[in-house]
Amino acid sequence: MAYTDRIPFVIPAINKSDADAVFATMDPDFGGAGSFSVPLNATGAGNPTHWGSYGPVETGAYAALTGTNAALKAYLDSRPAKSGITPPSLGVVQSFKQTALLGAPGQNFWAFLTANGLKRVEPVI
Amino acid sequence: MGSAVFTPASLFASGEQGGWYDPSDLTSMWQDSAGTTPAAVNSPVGKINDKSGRGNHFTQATTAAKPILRQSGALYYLEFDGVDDWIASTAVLPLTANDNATVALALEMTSATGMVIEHSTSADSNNGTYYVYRGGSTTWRPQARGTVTSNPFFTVSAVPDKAVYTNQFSISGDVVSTRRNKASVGTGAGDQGTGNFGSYQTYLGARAGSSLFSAMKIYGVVIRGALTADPTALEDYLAAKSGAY
Repeated sequence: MAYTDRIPFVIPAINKSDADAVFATMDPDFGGAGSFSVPLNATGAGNPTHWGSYGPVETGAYAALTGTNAALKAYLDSRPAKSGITPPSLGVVQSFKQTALLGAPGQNFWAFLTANGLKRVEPVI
Repeated sequence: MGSAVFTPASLFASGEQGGWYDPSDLTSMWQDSAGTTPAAVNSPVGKINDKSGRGNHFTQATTAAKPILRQSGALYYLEFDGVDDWIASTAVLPLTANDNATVALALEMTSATGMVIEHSTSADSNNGTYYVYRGGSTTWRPQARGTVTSNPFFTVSAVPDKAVYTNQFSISGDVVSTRRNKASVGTGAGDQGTGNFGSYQTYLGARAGSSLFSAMKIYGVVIRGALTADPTALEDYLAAKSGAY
Protein backbone atom coordinates (compact mmCIF):
# COMPACT_ATOMS: atom_id res chain seq x y z
CA MET A 1 0.00 0.00 0.00
CA ALA A 2 1.21 3.51 -0.77
CA TYR A 3 0.80 6.19 1.86
CA THR A 4 1.06 9.95 2.01
CA ASP A 5 3.33 11.61 4.52
CA ARG A 6 1.66 12.66 7.77
CA ILE A 7 -1.30 15.02 7.37
CA PRO A 8 -2.76 17.31 10.07
CA PHE A 9 -6.49 16.92 10.63
CA VAL A 10 -8.67 18.83 13.10
CA ILE A 11 -12.35 18.32 13.82
CA PRO A 12 -14.64 20.29 16.16
CA ALA A 13 -15.47 18.22 19.22
CA ILE A 14 -19.16 18.30 18.38
CA ASN A 15 -18.41 16.56 15.05
CA LYS A 16 -15.91 14.02 16.38
CA SER A 17 -18.29 11.11 15.90
CA ASP A 18 -18.45 11.94 12.18
CA ALA A 19 -14.67 11.86 11.91
CA ASP A 20 -14.51 8.64 13.90
CA ALA A 21 -16.97 7.01 11.50
CA VAL A 22 -15.09 8.18 8.40
CA PHE A 23 -11.70 7.08 9.70
CA ALA A 24 -12.98 3.77 11.06
CA THR A 25 -13.86 2.83 7.50
CA MET A 26 -10.96 4.60 5.76
CA ASP A 27 -8.16 3.18 7.92
CA PRO A 28 -6.80 -0.07 6.44
CA ASP A 29 -6.29 -1.30 10.01
CA PHE A 30 -9.06 -1.79 12.54
CA GLY A 31 -8.25 1.11 14.87
CA GLY A 32 -9.30 4.01 12.67
CA ALA A 33 -12.01 5.16 15.06
CA GLY A 34 -9.24 6.20 17.44
CA SER A 35 -7.53 8.50 14.95
CA PHE A 36 -8.70 11.78 16.47
CA SER A 37 -6.96 11.48 19.83
CA VAL A 38 -5.28 14.86 20.35
CA PRO A 39 -7.33 17.17 22.60
CA LEU A 40 -7.22 20.80 21.47
CA ASN A 41 -8.57 24.20 22.38
CA ALA A 42 -7.56 27.83 22.17
CA THR A 43 -5.67 28.00 25.46
CA GLY A 44 -4.17 24.55 25.99
CA ALA A 45 -6.04 24.13 29.27
CA GLY A 46 -9.49 22.90 30.11
CA ASN A 47 -11.88 20.88 28.02
CA PRO A 48 -11.11 20.25 24.35
CA THR A 49 -13.15 22.13 21.79
CA HIS A 50 -11.52 20.26 18.93
CA TRP A 51 -9.70 16.98 18.32
CA GLY A 52 -6.66 16.47 16.15
CA SER A 53 -4.97 13.69 14.27
CA TYR A 54 -1.58 13.54 12.56
CA GLY A 55 -0.78 10.60 10.39
CA PRO A 56 -0.47 9.15 6.92
CA VAL A 57 -3.38 7.96 4.85
CA GLU A 58 -3.39 5.76 1.78
CA THR A 59 -2.90 7.79 -1.37
CA GLY A 60 -6.35 6.80 -2.60
CA ALA A 61 -7.86 8.03 0.63
CA TYR A 62 -6.13 11.38 0.29
CA ALA A 63 -7.52 11.81 -3.21
CA ALA A 64 -10.99 11.04 -1.86
CA LEU A 65 -10.60 13.37 1.12
CA THR A 66 -9.69 16.26 -1.17
CA GLY A 67 -12.45 15.45 -3.67
CA THR A 68 -16.20 15.79 -3.54
CA ASN A 69 -18.49 14.44 -0.87
CA ALA A 70 -19.70 11.83 -3.34
CA ALA A 71 -16.14 10.80 -4.14
CA LEU A 72 -15.31 10.28 -0.47
CA LYS A 73 -18.55 8.38 0.06
CA ALA A 74 -17.78 6.15 -2.92
CA TYR A 75 -14.24 5.56 -1.67
CA LEU A 76 -15.47 4.57 1.78
CA ASP A 77 -18.08 2.26 0.30
CA SER A 78 -15.36 0.56 -1.73
CA ARG A 79 -13.20 -0.28 1.28
CA PRO A 80 -12.85 -3.92 2.32
CA ALA A 81 -15.45 -4.91 4.88
CA LYS A 82 -14.34 -4.84 8.52
CA SER A 83 -16.22 -6.65 11.21
CA GLY A 84 -18.51 -4.33 13.14
CA ILE A 85 -17.81 -1.31 10.95
CA THR A 86 -20.39 0.09 8.53
CA PRO A 87 -19.41 2.83 6.06
CA PRO A 88 -20.89 6.17 7.14
CA SER A 89 -23.89 7.68 5.39
CA LEU A 90 -23.54 10.49 2.88
CA GLY A 91 -24.90 12.84 5.54
CA VAL A 92 -22.10 11.92 7.91
CA VAL A 93 -19.54 12.32 5.13
CA GLN A 94 -20.94 15.76 4.30
CA SER A 95 -20.86 16.81 7.94
CA PHE A 96 -17.27 15.63 8.27
CA LYS A 97 -16.10 17.40 5.14
CA GLN A 98 -17.86 20.63 6.05
CA THR A 99 -16.26 20.85 9.48
CA ALA A 100 -12.88 19.11 9.23
CA LEU A 101 -9.71 21.12 8.78
CA LEU A 102 -7.33 19.27 6.49
CA GLY A 103 -3.64 20.09 6.12
CA ALA A 104 -1.21 19.00 3.46
CA PRO A 105 0.99 15.88 3.48
CA GLY A 106 4.17 16.61 5.39
CA GLN A 107 2.81 19.82 6.92
CA ASN A 108 3.98 20.51 10.46
CA PHE A 109 1.23 19.73 12.93
CA TRP A 110 2.11 22.45 15.41
CA ALA A 111 2.27 25.14 12.73
CA PHE A 112 -1.11 23.94 11.50
CA LEU A 113 -2.54 24.32 15.00
CA THR A 114 -1.09 27.79 15.39
CA ALA A 115 -2.54 28.86 12.07
CA ASN A 116 -5.93 27.73 13.31
CA GLY A 117 -5.68 29.28 16.77
CA LEU A 118 -5.44 25.98 18.63
CA LYS A 119 -3.16 24.41 21.22
CA ARG A 120 -2.79 20.93 22.58
CA VAL A 121 -4.37 20.20 25.94
CA GLU A 122 -1.90 18.02 27.79
CA PRO A 123 -0.99 17.37 31.39
CA VAL A 124 2.61 17.80 32.52
CA ILE A 125 4.50 15.10 34.39
CA MET B 1 39.62 -18.40 15.25
CA GLY B 2 37.41 -15.31 15.51
CA SER B 3 34.97 -14.62 18.30
CA ALA B 4 31.25 -15.05 17.76
CA VAL B 5 29.38 -11.99 16.53
CA PHE B 6 27.27 -10.49 19.31
CA THR B 7 23.54 -10.14 18.93
CA PRO B 8 21.07 -9.20 21.68
CA ALA B 9 19.61 -12.71 21.42
CA SER B 10 22.46 -13.88 23.63
CA LEU B 11 21.08 -11.73 26.45
CA PHE B 12 18.05 -14.01 26.63
CA ALA B 13 19.90 -17.31 26.44
CA SER B 14 19.29 -18.13 30.10
CA GLY B 15 15.55 -17.60 29.91
CA GLU B 16 15.54 -13.93 30.78
CA GLN B 17 12.24 -12.14 30.24
CA GLY B 18 12.01 -9.10 28.00
CA GLY B 19 12.07 -8.13 24.35
CA TRP B 20 14.34 -7.06 21.49
CA TYR B 21 13.05 -4.76 18.73
CA ASP B 22 15.09 -4.16 15.59
CA PRO B 23 13.79 -1.70 12.95
CA SER B 24 16.70 -2.61 10.67
CA ASP B 25 15.16 -6.06 10.20
CA LEU B 26 12.30 -5.39 7.81
CA THR B 27 11.20 -9.00 8.05
CA SER B 28 10.27 -8.39 11.69
CA MET B 29 7.76 -5.61 10.96
CA TRP B 30 4.40 -5.13 9.25
CA GLN B 31 2.27 -2.21 8.17
CA ASP B 32 -0.81 -3.62 9.89
CA SER B 33 -1.29 -4.73 13.45
CA ALA B 34 -2.32 -8.23 12.36
CA GLY B 35 1.04 -8.81 10.71
CA THR B 36 -0.12 -9.48 7.16
CA THR B 37 1.35 -6.64 5.05
CA PRO B 38 5.15 -6.47 5.19
CA ALA B 39 6.77 -3.26 6.35
CA ALA B 40 8.02 -0.79 3.78
CA VAL B 41 10.16 2.32 4.08
CA ASN B 42 8.08 5.51 4.45
CA SER B 43 5.01 3.52 5.50
CA PRO B 44 3.45 3.16 8.95
CA VAL B 45 4.43 0.23 11.14
CA GLY B 46 1.59 -1.52 12.94
CA LYS B 47 3.54 -4.45 14.30
CA ILE B 48 7.14 -5.07 15.27
CA ASN B 49 8.05 -8.50 16.43
CA ASP B 50 10.07 -9.28 19.51
CA LYS B 51 13.29 -10.95 18.35
CA SER B 52 14.24 -12.14 21.85
CA GLY B 53 12.10 -15.23 21.43
CA ARG B 54 9.75 -14.25 24.24
CA GLY B 55 6.89 -13.29 21.93
CA ASN B 56 6.39 -9.81 23.37
CA HIS B 57 5.45 -8.18 20.07
CA PHE B 58 4.45 -4.52 19.87
CA THR B 59 1.38 -3.44 17.89
CA GLN B 60 -0.63 -0.34 17.00
CA ALA B 61 -3.96 -0.68 15.18
CA THR B 62 -4.63 3.02 14.48
CA THR B 63 -2.72 4.12 11.40
CA ALA B 64 -2.58 7.77 12.48
CA ALA B 65 -0.79 6.67 15.67
CA LYS B 66 1.71 4.35 14.04
CA PRO B 67 5.38 5.25 13.81
CA ILE B 68 6.75 5.44 10.27
CA LEU B 69 9.66 3.32 9.08
CA ARG B 70 12.37 5.56 7.66
CA GLN B 71 15.71 4.87 6.04
CA SER B 72 18.80 7.06 6.16
CA GLY B 73 21.61 5.52 4.17
CA ALA B 74 22.14 2.05 5.58
CA LEU B 75 20.28 2.82 8.80
CA TYR B 76 16.59 2.22 9.56
CA TYR B 77 14.49 3.73 12.29
CA LEU B 78 10.95 4.16 13.53
CA GLU B 79 9.96 7.81 13.44
CA PHE B 80 7.57 8.88 16.23
CA ASP B 81 5.98 12.27 15.53
CA GLY B 82 5.59 13.56 19.08
CA VAL B 83 1.91 14.27 18.37
CA ASP B 84 -0.01 11.00 18.55
CA ASP B 85 2.37 8.15 17.71
CA TRP B 86 2.90 5.24 20.05
CA ILE B 87 3.14 1.49 20.00
CA ALA B 88 2.78 -0.99 22.83
CA SER B 89 3.23 -4.61 23.69
CA THR B 90 0.13 -6.40 22.47
CA ALA B 91 -0.22 -8.19 25.79
CA VAL B 92 1.40 -7.67 29.14
CA LEU B 93 5.18 -7.92 29.08
CA PRO B 94 6.13 -9.93 32.14
CA LEU B 95 9.25 -8.95 34.07
CA THR B 96 8.16 -10.83 37.15
CA ALA B 97 11.08 -13.20 37.63
CA ASN B 98 13.08 -10.71 39.69
CA ASP B 99 13.46 -7.06 40.59
CA ASN B 100 16.13 -6.15 38.05
CA ALA B 101 15.86 -4.76 34.52
CA THR B 102 18.02 -3.39 31.74
CA VAL B 103 16.49 -1.09 29.12
CA ALA B 104 18.82 -0.17 26.27
CA LEU B 105 17.74 2.29 23.59
CA ALA B 106 19.36 3.47 20.39
CA LEU B 107 17.51 6.65 19.56
CA GLU B 108 17.60 10.22 18.42
CA MET B 109 15.37 12.32 20.60
CA THR B 110 14.15 15.49 18.93
CA SER B 111 11.52 16.72 21.38
CA ALA B 112 12.76 18.33 24.57
CA THR B 113 10.36 16.31 26.67
CA GLY B 114 8.50 13.06 26.28
CA MET B 115 8.00 9.54 27.50
CA VAL B 116 10.38 7.25 25.67
CA ILE B 117 9.30 3.95 27.20
CA GLU B 118 7.11 3.05 30.16
CA HIS B 119 6.21 -0.25 31.78
CA SER B 120 2.47 0.09 32.58
CA THR B 121 0.07 2.97 32.02
CA SER B 122 1.80 4.96 34.75
CA ALA B 123 5.02 4.10 36.53
CA ASP B 124 4.19 6.87 38.98
CA SER B 125 1.32 4.93 40.48
CA ASN B 126 1.76 1.25 39.57
CA ASN B 127 4.17 -0.86 41.59
CA GLY B 128 6.89 -2.92 39.91
CA THR B 129 7.41 -0.50 37.05
CA TYR B 130 9.96 1.67 35.28
CA TYR B 131 10.01 4.44 32.75
CA VAL B 132 12.56 6.38 30.76
CA TYR B 133 11.47 9.98 30.29
CA ARG B 134 13.11 13.00 28.72
CA GLY B 135 12.39 15.73 31.23
CA GLY B 136 14.02 18.57 29.31
CA SER B 137 16.43 19.21 26.49
CA THR B 138 19.37 18.18 28.68
CA THR B 139 17.53 16.09 31.26
CA TRP B 140 17.38 12.31 31.19
CA ARG B 141 15.01 11.01 33.78
CA PRO B 142 14.81 7.26 34.34
CA GLN B 143 12.56 5.96 37.07
CA ALA B 144 11.95 2.68 38.84
CA ARG B 145 9.37 1.80 41.43
CA GLY B 146 8.93 -1.20 43.62
CA THR B 147 6.52 0.28 46.10
CA VAL B 148 8.39 3.61 46.29
CA THR B 149 9.48 5.80 43.36
CA SER B 150 13.10 6.68 42.62
CA ASN B 151 13.57 9.10 39.73
CA PRO B 152 16.94 10.78 39.53
CA PHE B 153 17.66 13.53 37.00
CA PHE B 154 20.77 13.15 34.85
CA THR B 155 22.26 15.87 32.66
CA VAL B 156 22.89 14.81 29.07
CA SER B 157 23.48 16.40 25.67
CA ALA B 158 20.82 18.75 24.37
CA VAL B 159 18.32 17.60 21.79
CA PRO B 160 18.55 16.56 19.04
CA ASP B 161 20.40 13.86 20.93
CA LYS B 162 21.40 10.74 19.05
CA ALA B 163 22.87 8.17 21.41
CA VAL B 164 22.72 4.73 22.91
CA TYR B 165 21.23 4.93 26.39
CA THR B 166 21.52 1.96 28.74
CA ASN B 167 19.33 2.19 31.83
CA GLN B 168 19.56 -0.34 34.62
CA PHE B 169 17.15 -0.77 37.49
CA SER B 170 17.32 -2.78 40.71
CA ILE B 171 14.45 -2.42 43.14
CA SER B 172 16.01 -4.12 46.16
CA GLY B 173 19.41 -2.69 45.25
CA ASP B 174 17.94 0.83 45.03
CA VAL B 175 19.75 1.44 41.76
CA VAL B 176 18.66 3.58 38.82
CA SER B 177 21.64 4.07 36.51
CA THR B 178 22.18 5.37 32.99
CA ARG B 179 25.03 5.13 30.54
CA ARG B 180 25.11 7.28 27.42
CA ASN B 181 27.34 5.95 24.67
CA LYS B 182 29.04 3.68 27.20
CA ALA B 183 29.84 6.45 29.69
CA SER B 184 27.97 6.77 32.97
CA VAL B 185 25.79 9.85 33.25
CA GLY B 186 24.64 9.04 36.75
CA THR B 187 23.35 6.60 39.32
CA GLY B 188 20.46 7.19 41.67
CA ALA B 189 20.29 5.37 44.99
CA GLY B 190 16.87 6.42 46.20
CA ASP B 191 14.69 3.90 47.96
CA GLN B 192 12.45 1.91 45.60
CA GLY B 193 10.62 -0.09 48.22
CA THR B 194 10.09 -3.78 47.62
CA GLY B 195 8.85 -6.35 45.15
CA ASN B 196 9.66 -7.57 41.67
CA PHE B 197 8.84 -5.87 38.42
CA GLY B 198 5.32 -6.60 37.25
CA SER B 199 3.38 -7.79 34.24
CA TYR B 200 2.15 -4.75 32.36
CA GLN B 201 1.86 -3.55 28.83
CA THR B 202 4.96 -1.62 27.83
CA TYR B 203 4.46 1.61 25.88
CA LEU B 204 6.92 3.17 23.48
CA GLY B 205 6.53 6.82 22.48
CA ALA B 206 3.95 8.05 25.00
CA ARG B 207 2.39 7.49 28.39
CA ALA B 208 -0.45 4.99 28.03
CA GLY B 209 -0.87 6.08 24.43
CA SER B 210 -2.53 9.28 25.52
CA SER B 211 -0.03 11.88 26.75
CA LEU B 212 3.65 12.84 27.00
CA PHE B 213 4.36 11.99 23.37
CA SER B 214 7.98 11.84 22.23
CA ALA B 215 9.31 13.01 18.90
CA MET B 216 12.10 10.55 18.31
CA LYS B 217 13.79 8.11 16.00
CA ILE B 218 14.11 4.61 17.40
CA TYR B 219 16.92 2.48 15.97
CA GLY B 220 16.69 -0.37 18.46
CA VAL B 221 15.28 -1.35 21.85
CA VAL B 222 16.28 -4.12 24.22
CA ILE B 223 14.33 -4.78 27.42
CA ARG B 224 15.87 -7.43 29.64
CA GLY B 225 14.54 -8.65 32.94
CA ALA B 226 17.97 -8.76 34.52
CA LEU B 227 20.90 -6.53 35.20
CA THR B 228 23.60 -6.57 32.52
CA ALA B 229 26.97 -6.56 34.22
CA ASP B 230 28.86 -5.35 31.17
CA PRO B 231 26.56 -3.85 28.54
CA THR B 232 29.41 -2.79 26.26
CA ALA B 233 28.73 -5.39 23.56
CA LEU B 234 25.04 -4.47 23.53
CA GLU B 235 25.86 -0.79 23.33
CA ASP B 236 28.30 -1.31 20.48
CA TYR B 237 25.68 -3.38 18.66
CA LEU B 238 23.06 -0.65 19.05
CA ALA B 239 25.58 2.02 18.07
CA ALA B 240 26.19 0.18 14.80
CA LYS B 241 22.44 0.14 14.19
CA SER B 242 22.10 3.85 14.84
CA GLY B 243 25.39 5.49 14.02
CA ALA B 244 25.36 6.97 17.50
CA TYR B 245 29.15 6.66 17.87
